[in-house]
Amino acid sequence: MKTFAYFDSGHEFPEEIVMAAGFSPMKILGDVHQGTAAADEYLFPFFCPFARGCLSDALANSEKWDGIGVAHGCDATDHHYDMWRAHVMGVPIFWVNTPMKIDQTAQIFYRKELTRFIDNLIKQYSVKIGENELKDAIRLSNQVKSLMQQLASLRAKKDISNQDYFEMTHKAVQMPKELLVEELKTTLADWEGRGPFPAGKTPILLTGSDVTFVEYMELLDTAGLRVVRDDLSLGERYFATTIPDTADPVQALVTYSFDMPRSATRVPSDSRLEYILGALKDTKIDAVLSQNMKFCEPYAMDAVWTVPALKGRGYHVMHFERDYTPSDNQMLTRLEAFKETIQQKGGRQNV
Amino acid sequence: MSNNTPNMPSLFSFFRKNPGLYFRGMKNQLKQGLPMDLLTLMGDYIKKTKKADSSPTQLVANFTAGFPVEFLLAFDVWPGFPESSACTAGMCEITQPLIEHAEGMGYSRDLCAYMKTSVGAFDKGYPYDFGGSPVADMYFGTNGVCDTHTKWFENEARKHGRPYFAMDVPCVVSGSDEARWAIDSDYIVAQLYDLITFLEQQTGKKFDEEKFMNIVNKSQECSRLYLEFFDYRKKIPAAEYFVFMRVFMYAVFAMWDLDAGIKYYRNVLEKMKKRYAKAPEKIGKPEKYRLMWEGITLWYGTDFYKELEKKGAHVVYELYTESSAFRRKKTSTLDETFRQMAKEFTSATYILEQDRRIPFIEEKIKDYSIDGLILHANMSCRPSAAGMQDVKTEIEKRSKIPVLILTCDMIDPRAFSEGQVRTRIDAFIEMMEENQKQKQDQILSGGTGQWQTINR
Ligand code: SF4
Ligand code: SF4
Repeated sequence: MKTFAYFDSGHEFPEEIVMAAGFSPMKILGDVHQGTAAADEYLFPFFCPFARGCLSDALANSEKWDGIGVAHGCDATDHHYDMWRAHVMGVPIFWVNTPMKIDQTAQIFYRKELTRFIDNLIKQYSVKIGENELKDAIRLSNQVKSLMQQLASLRAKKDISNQDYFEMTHKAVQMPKELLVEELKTTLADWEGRGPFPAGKTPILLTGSDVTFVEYMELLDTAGLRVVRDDLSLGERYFATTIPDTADPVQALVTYSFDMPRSATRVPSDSRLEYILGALKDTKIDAVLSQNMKFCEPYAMDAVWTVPALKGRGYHVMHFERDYTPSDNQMLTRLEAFKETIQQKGGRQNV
Repeated sequence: MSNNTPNMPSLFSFFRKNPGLYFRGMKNQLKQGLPMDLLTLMGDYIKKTKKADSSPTQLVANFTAGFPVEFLLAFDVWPGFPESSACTAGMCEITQPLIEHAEGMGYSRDLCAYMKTSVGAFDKGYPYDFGGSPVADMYFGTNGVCDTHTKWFENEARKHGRPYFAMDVPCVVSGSDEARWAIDSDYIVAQLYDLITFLEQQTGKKFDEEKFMNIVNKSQECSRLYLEFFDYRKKIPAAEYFVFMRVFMYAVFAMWDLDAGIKYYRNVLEKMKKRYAKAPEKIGKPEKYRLMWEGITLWYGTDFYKELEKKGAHVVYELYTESSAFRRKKTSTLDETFRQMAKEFTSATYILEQDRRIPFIEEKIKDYSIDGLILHANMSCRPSAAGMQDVKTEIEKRSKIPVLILTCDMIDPRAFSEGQVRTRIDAFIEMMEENQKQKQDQILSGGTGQWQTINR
């Protein structure tokens, strides 16, 4: 199956449209082990390293892909796009302008934008993207989302390591969806048979910039912190809601995009806090690890108000800025200190 | 300010508490050598903003750069512009403790220093003259330039429990076609109507189209006059340089009093016309190298620009100051105005996509007889710094002039390493010198004087 890769700072890119066009969508996540050297020729070191990692990835691998989409999210997607277009060779690149706002005016705009994207794909690849193709893609996508929901809900009850969860969120945005559904079903059976949530681990909610490499999740587990909820795009934002099953599939995608848990790149972002509070209440956990990737403005800006808002409600909250590196021993010490603080203040050891 | 919120402290009470800081700030302001009429104009905005802040009836709005201020004026809402106040603090060279104060409040070291200066100054109770800003009755932001604007003012509105309106300006990327533009334009225009509804709700007033058009006409005239001044900068020597221009743009940028702005720009132009007619040799300074600057100025860098001038290098054109004149075309109907505004939102020279940015710079290099280009890779402002490596490569190739990338910050002096900058500037000047020599040699040997690429 042909691969359509996309660069997305959140969960903005409409995967279902490229699925309807016969591609397998694949989110570009960079490779922390390869670093950012290739992109650093065109982007300064004081730009988001994850975004630089994604461009490096594209510079190295674009010949394996059949198309690239970049969705509007943060300043990195907007202002790096031109460098992608100038330097990533041999593959058509498309820009999808997801609106920042979520009101009626923005919905009308987004519908036109999606239609324009569909038309451009049809023109570029001579494919058919009709109602049926879109509905099939939505059905498949919803199957993935609902399986992911089931898997994610087991984190608070069973012994599911942060790495295991990360691996599934990673596959959810990178594997061909038909194969993925089978893999998710097998994994679900495996996770259901796992032992109970381990004593000694502290359940937390993870929020902030997307965690795109497994080593960070391992670090959290090493520090005794188990992520049982999150609001990441490489996480719950991707599957917390399903796409409505309505007669008009394009409108369904618009509605889905506006109803999913909010990311920090959208305004107003207040409902981000509502989602976090709801998740904490539902799962009965009281610790939040908030973090942002170095140079990530949207999440650093949101932390200024979300962290005090959560603390004000009595939750144990820690905010960190993290580097784009697979090994961070200093961070481990700080995470362990956070766990200790939670314990000292009477936070719950397990669910 | 119509709400019972804390007003900014007076300059006098600030002086009593911080005499050392006050004198340092004043001294640094004065060393820029700005003319009295310009200082008076700036002072007028500060004075009126304070008056609006302390008035029990005057509604005050805080807006970010790029927001269409004409709408606020049409509803008699005072336009407060915290960024301009942060710039003033920059000129006073007092920003570092304010930025560090904001970082202590949880703002990351990597976030925009305009925002941190403003947030820090507010929290420390500084007046408008030194970086502070009023608590507004409503807040307006746009992402037309950066994400920071929309997030910053959303945070401020939330903090003070005030309503917030964000303008979502679709990002224009290279390769955009007419079909995309039609969609983007419709979206912006629809939001301008939403903005009217929002203002009607907040002020309890009905939108007065005639009044609005009258204001728009004035802002178009203000922009036209301001841009006319740029013609005098093309002359050799140029009429004025960067340290003047960065303040000269206040009236067209903040638009608090369009009549005063028009009057001021008209006077300056009149005087300039006369001076060039009478004694052009007395205008400007000996210009050995004419520079273009891309990116925001170094507000704390008055000495830096003076150093450059001592070496005969003068900044005669900046995309940044040109972009402060938003209204580029006369319009007569509301719909035409909104469509034109949509175009202007996405065409500010500060945020052009690479497809337009590189040819634009190339053209200005010719228009302004530029010898060298400085690209300010501003650590506070990633949107403006993006693409600069490609601009350097392309301009060196196309225009055959040296291009220097300076990584600094517009207002955070911690990012300015004097020794390093000096070394790089010296090398840059040597390149321009070498370029000029080659050009001269070519002319002497009967060539065209076409500039050569320098090996480096
Ligand atoms: S980590 Fe932050 S800055 Fe980087 S791409 Fe994601 S949202 Fe943008
Ligand atoms: S300096 Fe740049 S990031 Fe900061 S407010 Fe201005 S445009 Fe935005």
